[in-house]
Amino acid sequence: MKMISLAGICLAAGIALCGCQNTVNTVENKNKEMQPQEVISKKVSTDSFLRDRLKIVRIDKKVNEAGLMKVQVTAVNVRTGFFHELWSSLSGGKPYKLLYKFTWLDKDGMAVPTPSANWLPMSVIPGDDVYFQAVAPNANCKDFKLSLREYDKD
Amino acid sequence: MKLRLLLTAVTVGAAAFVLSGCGTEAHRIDTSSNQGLTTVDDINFKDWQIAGEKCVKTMLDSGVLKRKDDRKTVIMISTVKNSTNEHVNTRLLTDRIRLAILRSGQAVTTTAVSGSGPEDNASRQVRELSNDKMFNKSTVVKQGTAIAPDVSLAGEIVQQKTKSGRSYESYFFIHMTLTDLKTGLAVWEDNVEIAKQAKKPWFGW
Repeated sequence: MKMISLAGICLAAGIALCGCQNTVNTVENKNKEMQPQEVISKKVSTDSFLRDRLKIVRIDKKVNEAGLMKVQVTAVNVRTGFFHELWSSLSGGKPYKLLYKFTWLDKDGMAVPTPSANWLPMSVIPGDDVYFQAVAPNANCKDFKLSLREYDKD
Repeated sequence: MKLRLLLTAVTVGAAAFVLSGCGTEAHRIDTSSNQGLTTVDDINFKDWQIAGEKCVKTMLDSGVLKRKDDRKTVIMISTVKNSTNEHVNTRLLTDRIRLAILRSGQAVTTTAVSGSGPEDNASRQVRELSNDKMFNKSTVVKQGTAIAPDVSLAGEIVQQKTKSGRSYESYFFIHMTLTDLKTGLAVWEDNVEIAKQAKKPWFGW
């Protein structure tokens, strides 16, 4: 009897905690007009927790009128569902906060120093898409790298 | 009585020792990291980085700096009005933007003229040397050679404070514009919003 009560309390607490977690419902046009230039990506994941939570969906690029490359990395916070929401509530990941940084490389693979090469914060609500955008600091930049890590004070 | 005094002294001494151990030594932090302090009433260096990054990104993406002729756009740094209650050095934002613009290869910044007078008075001073007998006149920079700016970078920072119970917050609104000096029209504008919140403890400050 005691065990049943305890299980009931745990379940109720879990449901209550999940109620604190907000996810996002989205709606969009089905027949797309856009014709993006998708980039084939190569990923190196050292933080499996972050990788499992934030899924990179696609990478697009374009060259703007000024001849500068613009890139957009689309990711989605896939940590939805009962157990994920329960865990997010317990671990304080609501919304999930992370830091990102773009590094630009020239045609010789040299990193181009930019005044804005800093870790920048971003919040992602579970279930929602997030777009990391950057414009190349100059026309010599041909490649890029996006670094992602969980938000912390370091 | 003596024992009680001794005990009190030992306790106070121990407490002071423990408390003094709570501090940290001064140390350098990585400015590209997330290690900086966050305060509600100030614009911290990470806020400037976020604001600068957004402004630079949208300005470079807009293509307004690219001229049809081969000449680079000449930018004048005008005034960024501080409409907050805090002391704010707006160079923390404008210098970041101008450096990014310079490195983009699409524009250059003039230091001969700015919103608060010449940033570098040397351009004017060297021309005055033509009246100085000490200098060879043929080596003195002639009048009418300085290049006037095409566009002007200006802006305003506004702060709104809100308090509710023990919670308090600051909302900073940074508005930047790039004005075509020929037409007077703003060819690029952007806003950056920074909102910070904290809760006062029940006791203390």
